[in-house]
Amino acid sequence: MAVVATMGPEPALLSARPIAGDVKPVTGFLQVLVSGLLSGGIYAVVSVGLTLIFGVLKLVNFAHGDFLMVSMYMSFWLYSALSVNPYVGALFVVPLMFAFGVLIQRILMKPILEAPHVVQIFATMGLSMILQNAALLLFKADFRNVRVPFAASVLQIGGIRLSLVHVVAFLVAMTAAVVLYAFLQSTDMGKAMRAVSMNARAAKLMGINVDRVYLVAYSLGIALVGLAGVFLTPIYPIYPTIGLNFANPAFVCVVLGGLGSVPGAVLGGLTIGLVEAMTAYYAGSQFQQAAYFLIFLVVLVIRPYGFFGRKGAEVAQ
Amino acid sequence: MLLVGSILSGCAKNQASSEPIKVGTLFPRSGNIAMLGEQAWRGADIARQIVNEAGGVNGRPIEFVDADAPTSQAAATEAERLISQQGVKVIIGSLTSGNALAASAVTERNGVVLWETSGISDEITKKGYQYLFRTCDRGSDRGRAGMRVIADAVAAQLNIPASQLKIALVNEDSSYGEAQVAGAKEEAAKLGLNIVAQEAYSSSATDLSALVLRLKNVAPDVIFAVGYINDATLFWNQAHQYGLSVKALVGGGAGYTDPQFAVVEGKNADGVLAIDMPTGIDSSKLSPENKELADKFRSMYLEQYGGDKVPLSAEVVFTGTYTLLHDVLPAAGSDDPDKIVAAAKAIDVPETIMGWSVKFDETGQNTGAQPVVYQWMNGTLSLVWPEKWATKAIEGLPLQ
Repeated sequence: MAVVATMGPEPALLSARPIAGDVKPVTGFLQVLVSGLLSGGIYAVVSVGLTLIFGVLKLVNFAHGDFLMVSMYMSFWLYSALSVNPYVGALFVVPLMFAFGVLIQRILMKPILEAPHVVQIFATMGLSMILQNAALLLFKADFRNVRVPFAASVLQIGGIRLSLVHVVAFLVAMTAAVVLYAFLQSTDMGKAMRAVSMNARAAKLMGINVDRVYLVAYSLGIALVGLAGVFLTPIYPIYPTIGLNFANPAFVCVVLGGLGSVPGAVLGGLTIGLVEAMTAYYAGSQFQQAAYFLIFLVVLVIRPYGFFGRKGAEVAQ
Repeated sequence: MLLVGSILSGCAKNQASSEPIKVGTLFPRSGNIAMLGEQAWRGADIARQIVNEAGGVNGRPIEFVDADAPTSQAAATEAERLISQQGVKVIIGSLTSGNALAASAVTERNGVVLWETSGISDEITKKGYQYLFRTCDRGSDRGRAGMRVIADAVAAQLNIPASQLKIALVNEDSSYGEAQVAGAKEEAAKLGLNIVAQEAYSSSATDLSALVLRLKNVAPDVIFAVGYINDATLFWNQAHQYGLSVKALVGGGAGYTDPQFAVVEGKNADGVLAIDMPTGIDSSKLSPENKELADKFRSMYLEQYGGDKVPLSAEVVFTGTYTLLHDVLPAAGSDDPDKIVAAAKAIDVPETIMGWSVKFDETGQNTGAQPVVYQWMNGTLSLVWPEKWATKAIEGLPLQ
């Protein structure tokens, strides 16, 4: 029932000898700030794919969290069957997820792109249920864990502790966001995607192969969430419904940042991570989730297009 | 008049003396928790086999009328079916609290007894139902046990008077965690323990670092934590990452007794205490009759179903069912629900194979059902408290 893949003994980067109750207010604040940002980085890396899919295809991918789960299982199986370090495994998982995205887009998304929103919503929700239950059927509900030697390692800078695997995930998130942004700004396909996200009909009239853009954007979004999954694998247990824990905050991040905006998704992720951490630290952890849902509500009322969204982007065209 | 009546009813009894007595069973035999539900049913069934072998209920063999409740909606409809179509007057259930709550609503309004062997939600006995009895412990009892083991054994191990220990309560915020903590707070007040913090968090949280940092500010000596396996490991991992040092951790069931906990935590699991129902109690510590019964049950189970250890679900349901079939129904004399209720209220069984005594309070709760405390060491969980059932002493405190 317990399935855990391990790789030898586990040295920590530094021997984290705990020191009880020595947290001064400033250190405490800085520590919470840092861990909030790191946690926000995780939300950001899950959100960039979601925002891309929404921005270009105007499709809310309710199965986003479940694609995350799929990539985590892929990482796990590579590790447990072939002893491939998850970070190295990314080289296999990300292209595989891209291919998976192509498959799903062609079979499921393409036929319903012109359909009413209700149909699209149900299609992605149905996909979500299929993915979760397929995983449950194939892999059972048991928790899988990938125990890399550095999973527990902690960096210490000043008096501030940073979890190594979180730092790596954060760096990957920022790099992926920057690369994606550059891609969207500078490459032809990227510009085509932006054009399609602004006005698909006009883009078609300009000679852009909108169908191809949809395919690439969707698959790229799935590949990105696959990347996220790889870097979450050393941190979290893997089970069929783990996607939900990340998908829900990801939706909030994407709306907060502006649907379709990559910098927005990053800023949204960092904001949510910070808000969660600060609320939990100063008000109590029972308010952790409530705080960011409250922000979500406020944003929807005051500025529904989020930080960087285009006015009207949140409304169906 | 009375004489005639009793002669007539005596005659009726004799005529019916070999007629089977029907008892319903309602467990999730299919669906998500089919495995545990099936184990539960098997426990009940072996109790039936043992009692029938010994002559049944006053000479009448017990016959099960089985129903499958994969969801709580099914529990309600199947309870209805058992009652109206099968004429069942007493039902053994439920494994999950959801099923128990759904089924009990149906049984109560029909005046049928629900014999609850395994659902632990406090809610179940809080509805004022007259026809419901629960043989196992409740969530809140685990909280109480947590405080008792701290006051009793942990304080002694740490060489600190119990009243001077700073205790923090940390729980996942569903009714499971909340019930345990409610019990803990109640007991802590009685024992004069110092609760310095109570933090609830959502079990779907992806990050508990702020919670850990908040606890660091309070610097508790002991933490009583309730969570499921994913948040329990997240919490304990982050506690280590952020340098939250405590002298002892007492986990309230589920996550902390899960085999995965030791697998994920490795060395960090050593010394962690965890509360759960008593399972696989060393039968030589029981009375001679219970030893015989325990050994018989276990060998019958393993013979019929294989494996090398009897699962907890089977054991707890066996214990509850055996009490019903062996102690309550014979005293009731029939399957008349009111007679069963009267008989149940009157029983006082000093010991069962799980070590529990059986005596029901006015809400139908067995006050003798108490959880026990285990401790992790080198990947194994051993029963360490209360001393009566302990196989080892508590060790490894304070935690390193």
